Amino acid sequence: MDERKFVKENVNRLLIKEYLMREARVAGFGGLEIQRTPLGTRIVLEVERPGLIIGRKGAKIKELTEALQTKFGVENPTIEVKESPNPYLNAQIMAEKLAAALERGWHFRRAGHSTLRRIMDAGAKGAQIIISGKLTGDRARTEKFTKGTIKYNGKPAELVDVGYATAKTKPGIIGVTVKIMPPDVKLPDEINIIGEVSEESETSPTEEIKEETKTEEVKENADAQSEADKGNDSGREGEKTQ
Amino acid sequence: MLIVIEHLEPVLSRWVWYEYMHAAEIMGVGNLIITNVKNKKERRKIAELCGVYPESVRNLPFKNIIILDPSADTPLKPEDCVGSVIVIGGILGDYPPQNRTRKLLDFDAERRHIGEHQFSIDGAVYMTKKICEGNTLETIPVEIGLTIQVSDEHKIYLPYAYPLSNGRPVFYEKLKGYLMKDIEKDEEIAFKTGRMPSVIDDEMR
Repeated sequence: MDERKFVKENVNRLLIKEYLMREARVAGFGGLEIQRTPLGTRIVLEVERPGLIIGRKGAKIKELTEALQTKFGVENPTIEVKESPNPYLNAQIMAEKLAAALERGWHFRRAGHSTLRRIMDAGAKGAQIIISGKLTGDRARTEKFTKGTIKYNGKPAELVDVGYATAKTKPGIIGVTVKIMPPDVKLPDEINIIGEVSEESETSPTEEIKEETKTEEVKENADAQSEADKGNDSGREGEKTQ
Repeated sequence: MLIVIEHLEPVLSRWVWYEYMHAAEIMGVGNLIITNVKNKKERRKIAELCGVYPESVRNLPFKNIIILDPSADTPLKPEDCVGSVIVIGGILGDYPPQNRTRKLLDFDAERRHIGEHQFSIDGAVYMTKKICEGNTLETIPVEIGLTIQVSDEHKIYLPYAYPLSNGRPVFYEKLKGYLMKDIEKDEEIAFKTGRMPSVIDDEMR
């Protein structure tokens, strides 16, 4: 029974996301976070233009809160609207913008290239735009625009921000996927050398030990030689006395 | 062996035209017929490549018709080709496929498949020719999906099946060039008019 409850909750979450995506499309939907607190449910909505989702004297947000309560049965919901710090680095916002541009009749190649350029100009490490469907005419195809670094699998792929939107055009539905590698992400293969090593400390400890042993050996050799010399001198002296 | 392509596209777009050109090159003169071409000017254009009829294949006096249909139960075998006319539905486009060949070519005839994936028209012609030459379906290598690199930033992916010849996909070079560059002009027109221009319109421009 517990599993059914979890599935039901997740389905509800998805429906809420779809509903808010639809409602916040004009404001530039950029993401959603649902947190359950002891007092109720806190929903953090990231948008490009918060004014449009809040509405005059908070009318729109009140309407959304009521809808969440009545339509989706969310307990005591509070919606917090957050402005996206850089919309060009938010994959969802860019996907929605690109889909809207395609619906307005922009040529998909021009739209794809310009969106890619905007993302990269905003400082992203990499970006990929995938536009697929019946782009023109009756034949479905996929066009990909890629620049910079994008990771597709493994742990680094989790760092990629992915956004998805659909555009309704005359030939059919076009799917738009935007993937952005944010600028502040640290990839595992990025290695920084902290500082330069000074010349004094360049000699390694083993070399120092070797040098010490060498000087000791030299000293020992010198002592042995001096003793031998002394012995030779005494011998000579003996010869002389004979 | 005679192969018939039933023209099912609304217009003879440049993409379809290049596929027909390639199909005619693969089959050679006299072994390929294109039917159901209603437009007189388009018919005249196709006549440069092969035989062309305004009527549908269902109304032509052919015997032993075999329709290539991805939803058929049995695969096409070399022995099927003897004394029969093989019909290919000249339509490609929906992904995932909507099984339009069965809907549009709904008359009573034998049906065979050349694999579960959707082939391009010229690819289907190539596959049929290879099978009729004595190869079995399993022995012909096929690649699913084809990527065309337009530039460092830009790639085109076609989600269809392409037979391999000497390890390389059977794909018409002129079509590749068209998809990489010239298609943009036609797309501009498609955005204004709502449909891709015909090869005939292209010549009139």
